[in-house]
Amino acid sequence: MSFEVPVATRRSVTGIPTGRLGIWWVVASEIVIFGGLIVSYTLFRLHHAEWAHEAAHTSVFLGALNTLILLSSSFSVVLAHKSIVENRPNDAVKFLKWTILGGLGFLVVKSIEYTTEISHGYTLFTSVFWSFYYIMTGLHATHVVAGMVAMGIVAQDVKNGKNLQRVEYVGIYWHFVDVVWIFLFPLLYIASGL
Amino acid sequence: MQTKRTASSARKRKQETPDKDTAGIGAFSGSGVAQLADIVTSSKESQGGEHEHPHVNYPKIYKYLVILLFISVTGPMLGFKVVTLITAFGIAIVKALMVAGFFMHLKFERVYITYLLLTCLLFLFVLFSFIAPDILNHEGANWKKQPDRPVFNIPEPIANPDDSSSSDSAFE
Repeated sequence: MSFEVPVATRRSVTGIPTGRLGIWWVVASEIVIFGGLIVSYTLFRLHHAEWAHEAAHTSVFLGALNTLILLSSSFSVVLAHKSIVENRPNDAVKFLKWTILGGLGFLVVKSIEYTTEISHGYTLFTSVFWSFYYIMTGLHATHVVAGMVAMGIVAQDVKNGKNLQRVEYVGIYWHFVDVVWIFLFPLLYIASGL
Repeated sequence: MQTKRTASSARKRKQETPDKDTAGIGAFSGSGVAQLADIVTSSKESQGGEHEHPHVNYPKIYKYLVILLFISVTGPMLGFKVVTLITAFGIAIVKALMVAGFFMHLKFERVYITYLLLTCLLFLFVLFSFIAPDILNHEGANWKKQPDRPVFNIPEPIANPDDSSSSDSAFE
C-alpha cells in the first residue's frame, strides 16, 4: 500500500502526474461546456429583464440548502485527500462516503424542487428561462451522479489499498462540480431582484 | 529509493520555480482575500512525491465559505441592485476562488494548470464578446431587430383545486 505513483506515469514536461494532469484537462473541458451555457444564459438574461419574474419562482431556500450541502461535501472530500496524505486510508473511505451522502442529499433536494416546479406548470418547455434552468441544473445533476459513482469506485479501491492517489483526482472533479453550482445559484435563484 | 528520488525531484522543481507560491498568494491578495494568508502555514512538505501540500486550515476555509453563503443569500434581500450584484456575484467569485485555490490546491499547483484554465476562460470571453453585440443591441447601422416572437406557448400554471389561494411562486 503506497501513495507514490510510478515515476513512469509522470509527465516530464509539466512535472505533473498523468492522472492529475488528466483530471485538470477534464476540468478545463468542463469549463467550456458549463461556461458556454452560462455565457448564453447571461446574454439572454441581460436582454430579457422579464426573466427576473420567472427566476422569482425558484426556491432560494432550497438553492441555498443545496449550496451548503455541496460546500460541506467539498469539505469532506478534501478531508479524505488529507487523510490519504497522512496515511489514514480508513478515514479517507469514511470521508468519501460522507461526500457520496452529500451528493445524494443534493439530488434529493433537487428532485423536490423539480417536482414542485413541474407540478406548478414550470417545465422544460414553459419558456426559454425554464429551458435554461432545467438544462443547466440537469447537466450539473448528471455530473453530481457521475462524481458519486467515481467516488464509490475510488472508495472501494482505497479500501483495498489500491490507487490512493485517485482520491485527490476525484476530489478535484468534485470541487469543480461545487464551483459550477456556486455560479448557478446566484444566476438562477438569487438574481431575481436584478 | 523511489521516495528519495521523488523528494529530490520536488526540491529541484522548487529551486527552479522559487516564486511560484508567492505569486499565487499575490494573486489572491489582489482579490481582497489577503487575510486568508494566515490559513496557510509556512511549513510545507513533499507528500509522496506528488507535489508540495501545504498545511491548509480546511475547517477555517469551510467556515468562511458558509459565512459567505449566508451573506450572498441575505444581501439581495435588502432590495438594492448594487448590493445584490456584489453579494450574489462578487461573493460567488470569491467563493469559487477559495474552493479552487485551497480545496483544489490550485494555489499550490504548477502554474501550467492556471494557464490552462485561464485559456478556457479566455475562450468564453471571446464567445461572450462576439455574440453580445448581436444579442444585446436592438438596432445597428443597416439592421433593426424584429420584435421577439414567443418561442413556446406558455401554459397557465396548473391550479390545485384544493388550494383556494392563488400564489405566483411555486414554493409559496
